[in-house]
Amino acid sequence: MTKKRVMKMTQFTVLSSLAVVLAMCISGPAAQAASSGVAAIEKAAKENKYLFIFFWKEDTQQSRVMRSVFQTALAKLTDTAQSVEIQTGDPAEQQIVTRYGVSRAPMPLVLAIAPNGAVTKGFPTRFDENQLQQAFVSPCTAKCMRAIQDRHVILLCVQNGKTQFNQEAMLGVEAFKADPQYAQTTEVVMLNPADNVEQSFLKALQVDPGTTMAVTLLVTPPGAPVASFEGAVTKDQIAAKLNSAQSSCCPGGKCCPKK
Amino acid sequence: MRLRTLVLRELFERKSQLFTSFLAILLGITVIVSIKNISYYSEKAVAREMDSLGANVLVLPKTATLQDYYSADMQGDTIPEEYITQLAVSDLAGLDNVSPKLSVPVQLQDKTFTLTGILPKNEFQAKAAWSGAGVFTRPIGCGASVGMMGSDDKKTLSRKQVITTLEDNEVLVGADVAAKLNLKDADSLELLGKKFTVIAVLPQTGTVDDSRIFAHLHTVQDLAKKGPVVNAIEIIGCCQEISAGLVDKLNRLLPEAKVVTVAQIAESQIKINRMMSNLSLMFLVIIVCVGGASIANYMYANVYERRREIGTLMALGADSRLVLKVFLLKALLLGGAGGVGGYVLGTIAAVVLGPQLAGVPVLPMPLLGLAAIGISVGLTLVASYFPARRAARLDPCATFQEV
Amino acid sequence: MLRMENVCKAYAHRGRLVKALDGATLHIPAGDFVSVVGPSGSGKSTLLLMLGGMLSPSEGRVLLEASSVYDLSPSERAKMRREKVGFVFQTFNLVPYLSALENVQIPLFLAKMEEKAQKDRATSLLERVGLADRLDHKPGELSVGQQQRVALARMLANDPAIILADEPTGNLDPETSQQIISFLEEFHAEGKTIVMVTHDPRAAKRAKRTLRLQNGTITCQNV
Repeated sequence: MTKKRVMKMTQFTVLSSLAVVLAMCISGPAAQAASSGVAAIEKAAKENKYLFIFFWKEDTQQSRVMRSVFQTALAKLTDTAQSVEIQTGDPAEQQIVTRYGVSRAPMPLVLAIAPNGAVTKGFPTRFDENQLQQAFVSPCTAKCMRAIQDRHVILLCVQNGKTQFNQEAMLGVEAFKADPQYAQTTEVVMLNPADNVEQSFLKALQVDPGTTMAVTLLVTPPGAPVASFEGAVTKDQIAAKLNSAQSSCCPGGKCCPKK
Repeated sequence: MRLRTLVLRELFERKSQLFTSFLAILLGITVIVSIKNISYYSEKAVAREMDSLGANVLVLPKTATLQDYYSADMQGDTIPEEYITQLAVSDLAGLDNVSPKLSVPVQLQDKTFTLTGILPKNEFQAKAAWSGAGVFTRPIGCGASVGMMGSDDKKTLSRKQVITTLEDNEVLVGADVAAKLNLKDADSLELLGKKFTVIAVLPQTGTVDDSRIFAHLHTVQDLAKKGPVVNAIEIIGCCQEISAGLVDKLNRLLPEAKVVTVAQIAESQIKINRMMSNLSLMFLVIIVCVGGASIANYMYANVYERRREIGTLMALGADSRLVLKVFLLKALLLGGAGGVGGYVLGTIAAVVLGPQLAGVPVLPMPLLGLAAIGISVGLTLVASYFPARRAARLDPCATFQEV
Repeated sequence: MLRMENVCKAYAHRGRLVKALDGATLHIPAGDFVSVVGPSGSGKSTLLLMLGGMLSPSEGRVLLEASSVYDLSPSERAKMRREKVGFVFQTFNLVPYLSALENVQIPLFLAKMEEKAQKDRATSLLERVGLADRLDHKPGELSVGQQQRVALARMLANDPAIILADEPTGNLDPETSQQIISFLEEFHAEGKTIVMVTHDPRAAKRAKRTLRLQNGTITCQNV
């Protein structure tokens, strides 16, 4: 090999090493920013699927057993759900661990995240395939759960073409939502009482699916309905119920059961 | 010469006799006053605690004594923070306001304070979501307070509510702490090597919370190097009957912990108070019997000793009403002195010993003074009535030489 | 002034009936000085106490200024003693825990006199009996003679019309006895009626007349 060739090879080696190093420098942070958890959440939301996150801390017998159950169950749910496994000690996943506050939770832990970002169920320590099915909720339920988790008040408007006083109810709801005092913290969710998918939700809220009147429910964190208005409702009525719920110890001020 | 002079001169003539009979009344009244005084303040303290905490349920380490909770025993055992998650995902009603606490001592300006780690409600409620859609069917928990985003009045932190949000480097300081360290909102504070910002000085509550500094539970765990543990989990309720029902369910959910209601804690104190009340009643009966007999005995002896004097007074023109007055006035003065002396001594004993015996500050009770004097005077008058009547009916001739 | 009409006094003593006075009748006009003599147990003190409204008779009447003493209520009799009768006792009967001045103040206090006036009158009475320098002394700090003089001053406090003296010199030496009797004579000269029980013949002689009491009856009266 001539001296010239050797010098050219050396230059090439040095330059390519520098290029590799440069490429690594550019791509490294980018790679760290996209944790598998965050990516999984975004992907599942995009595809309108549930995301089941398997959190684990240490490779214990319990973790291995539950992981196996988890993987078997999720393999059967690929149409409706996706999964990801996250070790709580992994520095790349701290954003997810902090977001869902699982650093001190009993492990292993499975959280089910609806496409809209609401946590619909948590399964600490142990679970089976059937229990994982309970994580799937109706769209309205998911919307309401998301609102509650954001610590918002929900005005759930149960109405369709067959119910009466729809507009009157909506006037009150919109007036309430428009009020600057409540605007940032109020979610309005529409619910068709005839929708089959929402029947269990209606039952849970104790609303008659065959209602002939528009029903407006005021739901506040931690989640139970505080008030129910049939037919027309005004902003002041809603505000009054909200204030009394915030100031009293329990509904109606009567805390103890009647003897 | 007045009736009072006649009585007082005679009273101090034979001091040893006077002293022994007076002592019985004095000691008895002292004991009754001190017991009643201490139990009044003890009962008031219990009632105040019951009022604000009566419906609360406490989850404590199995080995914790009930006193540990109130003395914020920081050397005691701990329970895993995991229990909070278990409570959050359980389907038990009434677990909406949960307040876990971890307390550690901290030194500031050569004074010792308590740094208490608390979990903001938003973090607990986030876990409540893990119980799923059932959250919509659970009835509003007794003691649950509706906490929306934006309803973040940090100053309303008290035992009835929990703080909604709290950042890692934020603290709330109790009223007494702020006064001692001259702190106000937005001041800086260094605790265990970490800098904090005071986001609020809490209003006076008259409880141990006034001498605490509150920070995020996880921050305190990290600073104290204790790991994910807490001293106690307080579940805030508002109905004692419902709380009592919850205890069994919680015991089944957390078999490794001790679950008690504040009412149960107070029960032992209430029992002590009741016992003290019965004791004071018993003392009262003893005083009445023994003290009364002692006074009566002294008076009878006094009448006998002074029979010649009584006869002379009658010879000089005193009627039986005056003789009766002489002896009853003497009884009144004895009783009054016994009542006043007993009240003073009893109050001093209560103020000094009350904090040590009952753990509560004790203040004087003027009404008790009236009662003490009333009992003492009543007792001496009743005990002296028959001796005085005998004196009034004395046959003066029998007291003179040769009838 | 003083009258006894058929007065009898009997009392039970160890199951037996003892007659202290048996049908005693006497009249003591105002300004009289009478000594009552007799053996021990003859009823002298009984007679004196009865005259002073201190002992009610079993039978008969005792009259003071024509009103029956024992028809008065006990409080009326006490008032009568306060206003009209002064007693002097053999054993002085001073209140041991009061000073000489306070002892003399007692009758004045019983008569509801104002305190300053009590003090002034008591002081002047004690000065009269020669005890101006012993006002604050208690009986235990005085000689027997001095004690009896305090008793005399006390007796005079309400200016009684009648003085009933029961063995006033019984516990005194002859010289002091003379002193006391002289005082009584002085009081008599001022118009007071004195009835003195004594077993001392020399003291008895100093009276205007002597009554003898034997077995409950007045057997001899000198006029």
